[in-house]
Amino acid sequence: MLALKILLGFAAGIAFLGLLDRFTNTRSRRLLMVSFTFLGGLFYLLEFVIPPGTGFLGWQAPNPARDNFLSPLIEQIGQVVLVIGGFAFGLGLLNLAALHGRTLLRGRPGWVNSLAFFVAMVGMTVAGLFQANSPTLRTVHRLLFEGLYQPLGASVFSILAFFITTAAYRAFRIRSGEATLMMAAAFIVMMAQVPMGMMLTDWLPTQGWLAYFRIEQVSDWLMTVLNMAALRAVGFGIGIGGLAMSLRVWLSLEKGTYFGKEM
Amino acid sequence: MSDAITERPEVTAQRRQSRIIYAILAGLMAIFLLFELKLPFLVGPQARGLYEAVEKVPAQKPILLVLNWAPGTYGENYPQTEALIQHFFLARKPFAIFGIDPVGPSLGQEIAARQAERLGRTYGVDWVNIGYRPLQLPMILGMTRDLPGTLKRDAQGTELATLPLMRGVHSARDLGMIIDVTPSATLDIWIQYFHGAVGTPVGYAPTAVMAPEAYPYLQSKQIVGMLAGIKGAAEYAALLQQRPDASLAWKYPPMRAMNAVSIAHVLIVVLIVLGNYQYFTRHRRREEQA
Repeated sequence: MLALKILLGFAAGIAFLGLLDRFTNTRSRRLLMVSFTFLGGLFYLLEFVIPPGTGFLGWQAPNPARDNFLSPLIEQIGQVVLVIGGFAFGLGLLNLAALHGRTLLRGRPGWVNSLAFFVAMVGMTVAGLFQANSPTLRTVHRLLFEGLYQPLGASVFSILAFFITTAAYRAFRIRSGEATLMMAAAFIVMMAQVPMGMMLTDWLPTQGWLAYFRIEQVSDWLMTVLNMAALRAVGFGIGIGGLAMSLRVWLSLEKGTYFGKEM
Repeated sequence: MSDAITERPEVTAQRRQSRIIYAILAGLMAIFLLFELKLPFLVGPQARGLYEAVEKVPAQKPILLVLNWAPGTYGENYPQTEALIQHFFLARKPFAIFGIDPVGPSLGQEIAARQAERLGRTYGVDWVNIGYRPLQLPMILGMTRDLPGTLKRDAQGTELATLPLMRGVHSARDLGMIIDVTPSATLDIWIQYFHGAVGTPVGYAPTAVMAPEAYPYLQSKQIVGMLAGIKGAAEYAALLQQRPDASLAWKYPPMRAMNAVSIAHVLIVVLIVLGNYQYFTRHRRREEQA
Protein backbone atom coordinates (compact mmCIF):
# COMPACT_ATOMS: atom_id res chain seq x y z
CA MET A 1 0.00 0.00 0.00
CA LEU A 2 2.84 2.37 0.94
CA ALA A 3 4.70 1.50 -2.27
CA LEU A 4 1.51 2.26 -4.27
CA LYS A 5 1.12 5.63 -2.53
CA ILE A 6 4.77 6.48 -3.26
CA LEU A 7 4.36 5.50 -6.92
CA LEU A 8 1.14 7.50 -7.25
CA GLY A 9 2.75 10.52 -5.57
CA PHE A 10 5.77 10.26 -7.82
CA ALA A 11 3.57 9.95 -10.95
CA ALA A 12 1.45 12.93 -9.86
CA GLY A 13 4.60 14.99 -9.24
CA ILE A 14 6.03 14.13 -12.67
CA ALA A 15 2.66 14.92 -14.32
CA PHE A 16 2.52 18.28 -12.53
CA LEU A 17 6.05 19.16 -13.64
CA GLY A 18 5.19 18.03 -17.19
CA LEU A 19 2.09 20.29 -17.26
CA LEU A 20 4.13 23.21 -15.97
CA ASP A 21 6.68 22.60 -18.69
CA ARG A 22 3.96 22.32 -21.37
CA PHE A 23 1.84 25.33 -20.46
CA THR A 24 4.33 27.86 -19.14
CA ASN A 25 7.11 29.80 -20.81
CA THR A 26 10.53 30.70 -19.40
CA ARG A 27 9.32 34.05 -18.07
CA SER A 28 6.34 32.65 -16.16
CA ARG A 29 8.40 29.70 -14.85
CA ARG A 30 10.94 32.16 -13.45
CA LEU A 31 8.13 34.22 -11.89
CA LEU A 32 6.81 31.05 -10.25
CA MET A 33 10.23 30.13 -8.81
CA VAL A 34 10.88 33.68 -7.59
CA SER A 35 7.44 33.86 -5.92
CA PHE A 36 7.81 30.49 -4.15
CA THR A 37 11.33 31.37 -2.98
CA PHE A 38 10.20 34.74 -1.65
CA LEU A 39 7.08 33.37 0.07
CA GLY A 40 9.07 30.51 1.66
CA GLY A 41 11.69 32.92 3.03
CA LEU A 42 9.01 35.37 4.18
CA PHE A 43 7.16 32.65 6.10
CA TYR A 44 10.23 31.67 8.13
CA LEU A 45 11.25 35.30 8.69
CA LEU A 46 7.79 36.29 9.97
CA GLU A 47 7.49 33.14 12.09
CA PHE A 48 10.82 34.04 13.72
CA VAL A 49 10.20 37.77 14.34
CA ILE A 50 6.46 37.85 15.27
CA PRO A 51 6.16 37.58 19.08
CA PRO A 52 4.51 34.51 20.64
CA GLY A 53 0.77 34.87 21.27
CA THR A 54 0.16 37.06 18.19
CA GLY A 55 -2.95 36.06 16.24
CA PHE A 56 -4.25 36.94 12.78
CA LEU A 57 -7.98 37.34 11.93
CA GLY A 58 -8.92 35.29 14.97
CA TRP A 59 -6.39 32.58 14.08
CA GLN A 60 -4.36 31.66 17.19
CA ALA A 61 -1.70 29.03 17.89
CA PRO A 62 -2.77 26.22 20.29
CA ASN A 63 0.15 27.17 22.56
CA PRO A 64 0.18 31.02 22.54
CA ALA A 65 2.78 31.22 25.33
CA ARG A 66 5.34 29.71 22.94
CA ASP A 67 4.00 30.18 19.38
CA ASN A 68 2.52 32.79 17.06
CA PHE A 69 -0.22 32.14 14.47
CA LEU A 70 2.31 30.90 11.88
CA SER A 71 4.10 28.40 14.14
CA PRO A 72 1.61 25.49 13.75
CA LEU A 73 2.29 25.48 9.98
CA ILE A 74 5.98 24.67 10.47
CA GLU A 75 5.34 20.95 10.82
CA GLN A 76 3.20 20.73 7.63
CA ILE A 77 5.70 22.77 5.62
CA GLY A 78 8.46 20.54 7.02
CA GLN A 79 6.69 17.47 5.60
CA VAL A 80 6.31 19.18 2.19
CA VAL A 81 10.03 20.01 2.14
CA LEU A 82 10.87 16.40 3.07
CA VAL A 83 8.85 15.19 0.07
CA ILE A 84 10.66 17.66 -2.21
CA GLY A 85 13.96 16.38 -0.76
CA GLY A 86 12.84 12.84 -1.68
CA PHE A 87 12.34 13.99 -5.27
CA ALA A 88 15.94 15.21 -5.35
CA PHE A 89 17.04 11.62 -4.55
CA GLY A 90 14.77 10.29 -7.30
CA LEU A 91 16.11 12.76 -9.85
CA GLY A 92 19.68 11.86 -8.88
CA LEU A 93 18.95 8.17 -9.43
CA LEU A 94 17.26 8.84 -12.80
CA ASN A 95 20.20 10.96 -13.90
CA LEU A 96 22.73 8.27 -12.93
CA ALA A 97 20.64 5.55 -14.58
CA ALA A 98 20.39 7.57 -17.83
CA LEU A 99 24.13 8.27 -17.89
CA HIS A 100 25.24 4.71 -17.16
CA GLY A 101 22.44 3.24 -19.29
CA ARG A 102 23.76 5.09 -22.38
CA THR A 103 27.35 3.93 -21.69
CA LEU A 104 26.18 0.35 -21.25
CA LEU A 105 23.89 0.19 -24.31
CA ARG A 106 26.46 1.75 -26.65
CA GLY A 107 29.30 -0.37 -25.24
CA ARG A 108 31.47 2.68 -24.59
CA PRO A 109 34.80 2.33 -22.74
CA GLY A 110 34.12 1.76 -19.04
CA TRP A 111 30.82 -0.07 -19.64
CA VAL A 112 31.85 -2.62 -17.01
CA ASN A 113 31.72 0.14 -14.38
CA SER A 114 28.23 1.10 -15.56
CA LEU A 115 27.14 -2.54 -15.28
CA ALA A 116 28.58 -2.64 -11.76
CA PHE A 117 26.54 0.47 -10.95
CA PHE A 118 23.26 -1.17 -12.04
CA VAL A 119 24.02 -4.46 -10.29
CA ALA A 120 24.94 -2.65 -7.06
CA MET A 121 21.97 -0.30 -7.20
CA VAL A 122 19.37 -2.96 -7.94
CA GLY A 123 20.94 -5.51 -5.56
CA MET A 124 21.13 -3.12 -2.63
CA THR A 125 17.65 -1.66 -3.25
CA VAL A 126 15.95 -5.06 -3.47
CA ALA A 127 17.85 -6.50 -0.49
CA GLY A 128 17.27 -3.36 1.58
CA LEU A 129 13.57 -2.95 0.81
CA PHE A 130 12.49 -6.57 1.17
CA GLN A 131 14.92 -7.93 3.80
CA ALA A 132 12.18 -7.99 6.43
CA ASN A 133 10.19 -10.53 4.36
CA SER A 134 12.94 -12.97 3.46
CA PRO A 135 15.81 -14.49 5.50
CA THR A 136 17.80 -14.96 2.27
CA LEU A 137 17.50 -11.27 1.39
CA ARG A 138 18.45 -10.39 4.97
CA THR A 139 21.65 -12.41 4.54
CA VAL A 140 22.29 -10.77 1.16
CA HIS A 141 21.74 -7.32 2.70
CA ARG A 142 24.14 -8.08 5.56
CA LEU A 143 26.70 -9.40 3.10
CA LEU A 144 26.42 -6.30 0.90
CA PHE A 145 26.23 -3.72 3.70
CA GLU A 146 28.50 -5.15 6.40
CA GLY A 147 30.69 -7.35 4.22
CA LEU A 148 31.23 -5.07 1.24
CA TYR A 149 30.05 -1.47 1.65
CA GLN A 150 31.49 -0.84 5.13
CA PRO A 151 35.01 -2.23 4.52
CA LEU A 152 35.16 -0.58 1.08
CA GLY A 153 34.23 2.83 2.50
CA ALA A 154 36.68 2.51 5.38
CA SER A 155 39.48 1.30 3.05
CA VAL A 156 39.07 4.21 0.63
CA PHE A 157 39.34 6.75 3.46
CA SER A 158 42.25 4.95 5.11
CA ILE A 159 44.36 5.44 1.97
CA LEU A 160 44.59 9.08 3.08
CA ALA A 161 47.00 8.05 5.85
CA PHE A 162 49.52 6.92 3.24
CA PHE A 163 49.18 10.11 1.20
CA ILE A 164 49.51 12.32 4.28
CA THR A 165 52.67 10.48 5.37
CA THR A 166 54.39 10.82 1.98
CA ALA A 167 53.20 14.44 1.70
CA ALA A 168 54.76 15.16 5.11
CA TYR A 169 58.09 13.90 3.76
CA ARG A 170 57.90 15.72 0.40
CA ALA A 171 55.91 18.91 0.89
CA PHE A 172 56.42 20.23 4.43
CA ARG A 173 59.48 22.47 3.98
CA ILE A 174 60.69 25.06 6.49
CA ARG A 175 61.44 27.82 3.98
CA SER A 176 60.32 30.88 5.97
CA GLY A 177 59.59 32.16 9.47
CA GLU A 178 55.85 31.47 8.99
CA ALA A 179 56.55 27.89 7.91
CA THR A 180 58.75 27.42 11.00
CA LEU A 181 55.95 28.67 13.26
CA MET A 182 53.48 26.37 11.54
CA MET A 183 55.85 23.45 11.87
CA ALA A 184 56.34 24.11 15.60
CA ALA A 185 52.57 24.38 16.20
CA ALA A 186 51.90 21.25 14.14
CA PHE A 187 54.57 19.33 16.06
CA ILE A 188 53.11 20.29 19.46
CA VAL A 189 49.47 19.61 18.51
CA MET A 190 50.26 16.33 16.74
CA MET A 191 52.39 14.96 19.53
CA ALA A 192 49.98 16.10 22.25
CA GLN A 193 47.25 14.07 20.54
CA VAL A 194 48.97 10.75 21.20
CA PRO A 195 50.41 8.89 24.22
CA MET A 196 53.88 8.67 22.63
CA GLY A 197 53.95 12.45 22.37
CA MET A 198 52.75 12.84 25.95
CA MET A 199 55.75 10.74 27.02
CA LEU A 200 58.03 13.64 25.97
CA THR A 201 56.90 15.75 28.92
CA ASP A 202 55.61 13.01 31.18
CA TRP A 203 58.43 13.78 33.63
CA LEU A 204 56.85 17.18 34.39
CA PRO A 205 54.33 17.31 37.28
CA THR A 206 50.57 17.36 36.52
CA GLN A 207 49.94 20.08 39.15
CA GLY A 208 51.60 23.48 39.77
CA TRP A 209 53.11 26.02 37.40
CA LEU A 210 55.46 23.50 35.75
CA ALA A 211 52.40 21.58 34.54
CA TYR A 212 51.76 24.40 32.04
CA PHE A 213 54.82 23.22 30.12
CA ARG A 214 53.49 19.70 29.59
CA ILE A 215 52.96 19.15 25.83
CA GLU A 216 49.20 18.52 26.19
CA GLN A 217 48.84 21.79 28.15
CA VAL A 218 50.74 23.78 25.52
CA SER A 219 48.64 22.14 22.80
CA ASP A 220 45.44 22.98 24.71
CA TRP A 221 46.57 26.62 24.96
CA LEU A 222 47.27 26.71 21.20
CA MET A 223 43.83 25.28 20.46
CA THR A 224 41.77 27.25 22.96
CA VAL A 225 43.48 30.64 22.58
CA LEU A 226 45.25 31.11 19.24
CA ASN A 227 43.18 28.69 17.17
CA MET A 228 39.92 29.90 18.73
CA ALA A 229 40.64 33.58 18.02
CA ALA A 230 41.35 32.79 14.36
CA LEU A 231 38.28 30.56 14.08
CA ARG A 232 36.02 33.22 15.60
CA ALA A 233 37.28 35.74 13.04
CA VAL A 234 36.69 33.27 10.21
CA GLY A 235 33.25 32.36 11.60
CA PHE A 236 32.29 36.03 11.83
CA GLY A 237 33.26 36.58 8.19
CA ILE A 238 31.38 33.46 7.07
CA GLY A 239 28.31 34.61 9.02
CA ILE A 240 28.21 38.01 7.33
CA GLY A 241 28.85 36.42 3.94
CA GLY A 242 26.08 33.88 4.58
CA LEU A 243 23.63 36.63 5.51
CA ALA A 244 24.39 38.54 2.30
CA MET A 245 24.13 35.35 0.23
CA SER A 246 20.82 34.36 1.88
CA LEU A 247 19.36 37.79 1.10
CA ARG A 248 20.44 37.49 -2.54
CA VAL A 249 18.86 34.02 -2.85
CA TRP A 250 15.67 35.04 -1.01
CA LEU A 251 15.14 38.12 -3.17
CA SER A 252 16.24 36.21 -6.33
CA LEU A 253 19.02 38.69 -7.02
CA GLU A 254 21.53 35.90 -7.58
CA LYS A 255 22.55 35.30 -11.20
CA GLY A 256 24.08 32.15 -12.68
CA THR A 257 23.28 28.65 -13.91
CA TYR A 258 20.82 27.74 -11.17
CA PHE A 259 19.22 31.14 -10.73
CA GLY A 260 18.79 33.38 -13.77
CA LYS A 261 20.07 31.27 -16.68
CA GLU A 262 18.11 28.67 -18.64
CA MET A 263 19.79 25.25 -18.31
CA MET B 1 62.03 14.78 -24.84
CA SER B 2 65.50 14.97 -23.31
CA ASP B 3 63.95 16.63 -20.22
CA ALA B 4 61.61 13.70 -19.79
CA ILE B 5 64.51 11.28 -19.99
CA THR B 6 66.59 13.23 -17.45
CA GLU B 7 63.59 13.46 -15.07
CA ARG B 8 62.87 9.76 -15.14
CA PRO B 9 65.44 8.59 -12.53
CA GLU B 10 64.12 11.24 -10.11
CA VAL B 11 60.53 10.09 -10.61
CA THR B 12 61.59 6.48 -10.17
CA ALA B 13 63.42 7.40 -6.96
CA GLN B 14 60.35 9.25 -5.67
CA ARG B 15 58.16 6.23 -6.40
CA ARG B 16 60.60 3.98 -4.61
CA GLN B 17 60.64 6.34 -1.63
CA SER B 18 56.82 6.37 -1.53
CA ARG B 19 56.68 2.59 -1.54
CA ILE B 20 59.20 2.38 1.30
CA ILE B 21 57.17 4.90 3.33
CA TYR B 22 53.92 3.00 2.61
CA ALA B 23 55.51 -0.27 3.72
CA ILE B 24 56.94 1.24 6.94
CA LEU B 25 53.60 2.86 7.82
CA ALA B 26 51.57 -0.29 7.09
CA GLY B 27 54.01 -2.47 9.05
CA LEU B 28 54.10 -0.20 12.10
CA MET B 29 50.32 0.27 12.14
CA ALA B 30 49.74 -3.49 11.88
CA ILE B 31 52.13 -4.21 14.78
CA PHE B 32 50.54 -1.58 17.02
CA LEU B 33 47.00 -2.69 16.13
CA LEU B 34 47.79 -6.32 16.91
CA PHE B 35 49.62 -5.82 20.22
CA GLU B 36 48.39 -3.68 23.09
CA LEU B 37 50.94 -1.38 24.73
CA LYS B 38 50.55 0.46 28.01
CA LEU B 39 51.53 4.08 27.36
CA PRO B 40 51.05 7.13 29.61
CA PHE B 41 47.67 8.66 28.93
CA LEU B 42 45.77 11.59 30.44
CA VAL B 43 42.03 12.25 30.09
CA GLY B 44 41.43 15.78 28.80
CA PRO B 45 38.76 18.21 30.08
CA GLN B 46 36.66 17.90 26.88
CA ALA B 47 36.00 14.15 27.23
CA ARG B 48 35.52 14.47 30.99
CA GLY B 49 33.00 17.27 30.40
CA LEU B 50 30.92 15.09 28.10
CA TYR B 51 31.11 12.10 30.45
CA GLU B 52 29.96 14.17 33.43
CA ALA B 53 27.18 15.83 31.42
CA VAL B 54 25.83 12.40 30.41
CA GLU B 55 25.92 11.31 34.05
CA LYS B 56 23.77 14.33 34.99
CA VAL B 57 21.02 13.65 32.41
CA PRO B 58 17.75 12.79 34.24
CA ALA B 59 16.69 9.16 33.70
CA GLN B 60 13.27 10.17 32.29
CA LYS B 61 14.79 12.38 29.57
CA PRO B 62 16.18 10.43 26.59
CA ILE B 63 19.42 11.40 24.88
CA LEU B 64 19.27 11.99 21.12
CA LEU B 65 22.34 10.27 19.66
CA VAL B 66 22.79 11.76 16.19
CA LEU B 67 24.94 9.50 14.02
CA ASN B 68 25.99 11.36 10.90
CA TRP B 69 28.88 9.17 9.88
CA ALA B 70 29.49 6.58 7.19
CA PRO B 71 32.12 3.82 6.81
CA GLY B 72 34.65 6.39 5.52
CA THR B 73 35.27 7.54 9.11
CA TYR B 74 34.74 4.13 10.70
CA GLY B 75 38.14 4.24 12.41
CA GLU B 76 37.23 7.26 14.55
CA ASN B 77 33.45 7.42 14.75
CA TYR B 78 32.79 3.71 15.43
CA PRO B 79 34.78 3.59 18.72
CA GLN B 80 33.23 6.94 19.76
CA THR B 81 29.72 5.58 19.16
CA GLU B 82 30.52 2.29 20.90
CA ALA B 83 31.91 4.15 23.94
CA LEU B 84 28.85 6.42 24.19
CA ILE B 85 26.33 3.59 23.78
CA GLN B 86 28.06 1.48 26.44
CA HIS B 87 27.97 4.47 28.80
CA PHE B 88 24.22 5.02 28.18
CA PHE B 89 23.43 1.37 28.86
CA LEU B 90 25.64 1.14 31.96
CA ALA B 91 24.32 4.40 33.44
CA ARG B 92 20.72 3.51 32.46
CA LYS B 93 20.29 6.60 30.28
CA PRO B 94 17.63 5.95 27.62
CA PHE B 95 18.64 7.09 24.14
CA ALA B 96 17.31 7.45 20.61
CA ILE B 97 19.54 6.94 17.56
CA PHE B 98 18.88 9.38 14.74
CA GLY B 99 20.79 10.45 11.64
CA ILE B 100 20.85 12.93 8.81
CA ASP B 101 23.27 10.61 7.00
CA PRO B 102 21.54 7.55 5.50
CA VAL B 103 24.14 5.07 6.77
CA GLY B 104 24.83 6.34 10.30
CA PRO B 105 21.71 4.96 12.04
CA SER B 106 22.24 1.49 10.47
CA LEU B 107 25.79 1.42 11.86
CA GLY B 108 24.53 2.58 15.25
CA GLN B 109 21.78 -0.07 15.19
CA GLU B 110 24.41 -2.81 14.90
CA ILE B 111 26.39 -1.47 17.90
CA ALA B 112 23.32 -0.80 20.07
CA ALA B 113 21.71 -4.19 19.33
CA ARG B 114 24.94 -6.03 20.18
CA GLN B 115 25.52 -4.11 23.40
CA ALA B 116 21.83 -4.31 24.41
CA GLU B 117 21.91 -8.09 24.06
CA ARG B 118 25.09 -8.30 26.12
CA LEU B 119 23.84 -6.02 28.89
CA GLY B 120 20.19 -7.14 28.84
CA ARG B 121 18.61 -3.87 27.70
CA THR B 122 15.26 -3.64 25.89
CA TYR B 123 14.37 -1.96 22.61
CA GLY B 124 11.70 0.68 23.06
CA VAL B 125 12.45 1.06 26.77
CA ASP B 126 16.21 1.63 26.95
CA TRP B 127 16.84 2.60 23.36
CA VAL B 128 15.17 3.21 20.01
CA ASN B 129 16.42 3.76 16.48
CA ILE B 130 14.48 6.54 14.76
CA GLY B 131 16.56 6.07 11.63
CA TYR B 132 17.49 8.47 8.86
CA ARG B 133 15.77 11.69 7.81
CA PRO B 134 17.13 14.04 5.13
CA LEU B 135 18.59 17.25 6.52
CA GLN B 136 15.99 19.96 5.96
CA LEU B 137 15.63 23.07 8.09
CA PRO B 138 11.82 22.78 8.38
CA MET B 139 12.21 19.26 9.74
CA ILE B 140 14.74 20.44 12.33
CA LEU B 141 12.40 23.27 13.37
CA GLY B 142 9.53 20.78 13.55
CA MET B 143 11.62 18.51 15.80
CA THR B 144 12.15 21.33 18.29
CA ARG B 145 8.38 21.87 18.59
CA ASP B 146 6.82 18.45 18.09
CA LEU B 147 9.41 15.68 17.93
CA PRO B 148 7.16 12.58 17.62
CA GLY B 149 4.78 14.50 15.30
CA THR B 150 7.62 15.44 12.95
CA LEU B 151 9.55 12.14 12.98
CA LYS B 152 6.41 9.98 13.39
CA ARG B 153 7.93 6.44 13.25
CA ASP B 154 11.12 4.61 14.21
CA ALA B 155 13.32 2.72 11.72
CA GLN B 156 11.09 -0.38 12.04
CA GLY B 157 7.91 1.57 11.30
CA THR B 158 6.57 1.67 14.88
CA GLU B 159 4.76 4.88 15.93
CA LEU B 160 7.21 6.78 18.14
CA ALA B 161 4.45 7.94 20.48
CA THR B 162 3.66 4.29 21.35
CA LEU B 163 7.20 3.44 22.49
CA PRO B 164 7.66 3.65 26.32
CA LEU B 165 10.93 5.57 25.92
CA MET B 166 9.26 8.32 23.87
CA ARG B 167 6.07 8.68 25.91
CA GLY B 168 7.21 11.77 27.80
CA VAL B 169 8.89 13.35 24.77
CA HIS B 170 6.86 16.08 23.07
CA SER B 171 9.48 18.58 21.96
CA ALA B 172 13.24 19.18 22.12
CA ARG B 173 12.72 20.50 25.67
CA ASP B 174 12.01 16.91 26.76
CA LEU B 175 15.37 15.62 25.53
CA GLY B 176 18.12 15.21 28.12
CA MET B 177 20.91 15.92 25.66
CA ILE B 178 21.91 15.77 21.99
CA ILE B 179 25.23 14.20 21.01
CA ASP B 180 26.36 14.58 17.41
CA VAL B 181 28.84 11.93 16.20
CA THR B 182 30.01 13.21 12.84
CA PRO B 183 32.82 13.96 10.41
CA SER B 184 30.75 16.84 8.93
CA ALA B 185 30.02 20.42 9.94
CA THR B 186 26.58 19.65 11.42
CA LEU B 187 27.22 20.98 14.94
CA ASP B 188 25.77 24.43 14.16
CA ILE B 189 22.32 22.92 13.60
CA TRP B 190 22.05 21.56 17.13
CA ILE B 191 23.56 24.68 18.69
CA GLN B 192 21.28 27.09 16.82
CA TYR B 193 17.97 25.28 16.89
CA PHE B 194 18.21 23.08 19.98
CA HIS B 195 20.65 24.64 22.45
CA GLY B 196 19.97 28.25 21.42
CA ALA B 197 16.20 27.97 21.09
CA VAL B 198 15.22 25.58 23.89
CA GLY B 199 18.41 25.08 25.92
CA THR B 200 18.99 21.37 25.22
CA PRO B 201 22.61 20.51 26.19
CA VAL B 202 24.75 19.52 23.18
CA GLY B 203 27.73 17.14 23.11
CA TYR B 204 30.04 16.66 20.13
CA ALA B 205 32.06 13.70 18.87
CA PRO B 206 33.79 14.75 15.64
CA THR B 207 36.71 13.31 13.72
CA ALA B 208 40.06 14.79 14.82
CA VAL B 209 40.28 17.13 11.80
CA MET B 210 36.90 18.70 12.62
CA ALA B 211 37.62 19.19 16.33
CA PRO B 212 39.46 22.58 16.17
CA GLU B 213 36.27 24.24 14.86
CA ALA B 214 34.42 23.33 18.07
CA TYR B 215 36.71 25.06 20.58
CA PRO B 216 34.85 28.41 20.52
CA TYR B 217 31.63 26.55 21.42
CA LEU B 218 33.36 24.71 24.25
CA GLN B 219 34.58 27.96 25.80
CA SER B 220 31.14 29.58 25.49
CA LYS B 221 29.60 26.43 27.06
CA GLN B 222 27.36 25.93 24.02
CA ILE B 223 28.66 22.38 23.96
CA VAL B 224 29.14 20.50 27.21
CA GLY B 225 32.03 18.34 26.05
CA MET B 226 33.75 16.76 23.08
CA LEU B 227 35.35 13.50 21.99
CA ALA B 228 37.97 14.54 19.45
CA GLY B 229 38.60 11.60 17.11
CA ILE B 230 40.08 8.35 18.32
CA LYS B 231 41.82 10.18 21.19
CA GLY B 232 38.42 11.24 22.52
CA ALA B 233 37.12 7.66 22.24
CA ALA B 234 40.18 6.35 24.14
CA GLU B 235 39.72 9.00 26.84
CA TYR B 236 36.04 8.08 27.18
CA ALA B 237 36.98 4.38 27.38
CA ALA B 238 39.43 5.22 30.20
CA LEU B 239 36.64 7.04 32.08
CA LEU B 240 34.25 4.11 31.57
CA GLN B 241 36.92 1.74 32.88
CA GLN B 242 36.91 3.64 36.19
CA ARG B 243 33.19 2.94 36.77
CA PRO B 244 32.41 0.39 39.50
CA ASP B 245 29.86 -1.26 37.16
CA ALA B 246 32.25 -1.27 34.18
CA SER B 247 31.37 -4.22 31.96
CA LEU B 248 32.90 -3.28 28.65
CA ALA B 249 33.27 -5.14 25.37
CA TRP B 250 34.82 -3.50 22.34
CA LYS B 251 34.69 -4.53 18.72
CA TYR B 252 37.62 -2.18 18.06
CA PRO B 253 39.41 -1.29 21.35
CA PRO B 254 40.02 2.50 21.19
CA MET B 255 43.31 2.35 23.14
CA ARG B 256 44.85 -0.03 20.63
CA ALA B 257 43.82 2.23 17.75
CA MET B 258 45.19 5.20 19.73
CA ASN B 259 48.60 3.53 19.94
CA ALA B 260 48.58 2.86 16.19
CA VAL B 261 47.77 6.54 15.56
CA SER B 262 50.57 7.37 18.01
CA ILE B 263 53.20 5.63 15.95
CA ALA B 264 51.83 7.15 12.73
CA HIS B 265 52.19 10.65 14.24
CA VAL B 266 55.76 9.90 15.33
CA LEU B 267 56.55 8.59 11.83
CA ILE B 268 55.13 11.76 10.24
CA VAL B 269 57.29 13.95 12.50
CA VAL B 270 60.40 11.87 11.70
CA LEU B 271 59.64 12.11 7.96
CA ILE B 272 59.18 15.90 8.13
CA VAL B 273 62.58 16.20 9.82
CA LEU B 274 64.20 13.84 7.28
CA GLY B 275 62.56 15.62 4.34
CA ASN B 276 63.80 19.00 5.57
CA TYR B 277 67.30 17.67 6.24
CA GLN B 278 67.44 16.32 2.68
CA TYR B 279 66.09 19.62 1.29
CA PHE B 280 68.64 21.78 3.11
CA THR B 281 71.57 19.48 2.28
CA ARG B 282 70.67 19.64 -1.43
CA HIS B 283 70.14 23.39 -1.23
CA ARG B 284 73.56 23.91 0.36
CA ARG B 285 75.23 21.63 -2.20
CA ARG B 286 73.67 23.61 -5.08
CA GLU B 287 74.82 26.88 -3.55
CA GLU B 288 78.36 25.55 -3.18
CA GLN B 289 78.38 24.37 -6.82
CA ALA B 290 77.11 27.79 -7.99
